Amino acid sequence: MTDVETTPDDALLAALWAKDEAPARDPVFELAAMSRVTRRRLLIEAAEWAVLAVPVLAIVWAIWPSLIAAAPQMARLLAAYGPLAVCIGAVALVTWTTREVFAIDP
Amino acid sequence: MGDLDAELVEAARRGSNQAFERLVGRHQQAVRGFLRRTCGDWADADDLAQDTFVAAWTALGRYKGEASVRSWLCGIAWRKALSHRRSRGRGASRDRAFAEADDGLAEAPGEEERMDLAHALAALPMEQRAAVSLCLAADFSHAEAAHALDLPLGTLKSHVTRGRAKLLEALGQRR
Repeated sequence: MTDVETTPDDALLAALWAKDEAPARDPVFELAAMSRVTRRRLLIEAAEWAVLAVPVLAIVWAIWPSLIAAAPQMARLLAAYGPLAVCIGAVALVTWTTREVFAIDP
Repeated sequence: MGDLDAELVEAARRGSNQAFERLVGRHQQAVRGFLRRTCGDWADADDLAQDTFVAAWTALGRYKGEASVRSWLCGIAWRKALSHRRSRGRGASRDRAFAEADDGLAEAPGEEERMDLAHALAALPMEQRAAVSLCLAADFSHAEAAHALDLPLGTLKSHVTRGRAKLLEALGQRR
């Protein structure tokens, strides 16, 4: 609680200031604030992914000659399992990006 | 109240959006009220309040619990208000806000007195205004307000005393 000594004049000041008060519950404000927070979170996540992508790209660049050499064998594998891999990837992506909507919070 | 806040901060740190949303709900009134009185312009104040919560979310890991959550949030809000004032030019938005508020509002009972108070508050130096807003309008303790404004306790008390005297003088003149 406050340790500020109050007088009747202070009560008058407080009463006049009470009209400046925001409502105790304001869903519109809370939603707007949380959408800004979510936007910030997504920006941070995107930056983290970008940081992760750099070493991955470096590794891919380093092993590129070996990948090219293995390309015919990989092409056969892709033809066999490619559509399945794409489907699994799409489901994973949709689940991850919509976790906020369905309130799947860690 | 403090325990629940601490639990919510801890849950928000672990990544819970709902916990942070509850913190926003519990403290939006204090933060917005403080910024409204300090900035004058309600739209700017609400915008700064939203920025305050974004900054708080980013800084959750740095909250050590040595002050109440509302004091910590008002501290962030205060720094936002200071940088907003630097970027917008001293007093410009506040004067415009009061000019707009004058239109038609002075008819309501008690409204003239409220406008006088708002004008008197606007005339105070910004630190004094913030100190008065926290201690007299928002029921903060001196220690809490000193922490939020990052001022020595003695300076804070002096701001409150001087600010209160000026405001009461301004109200007394019209009685």
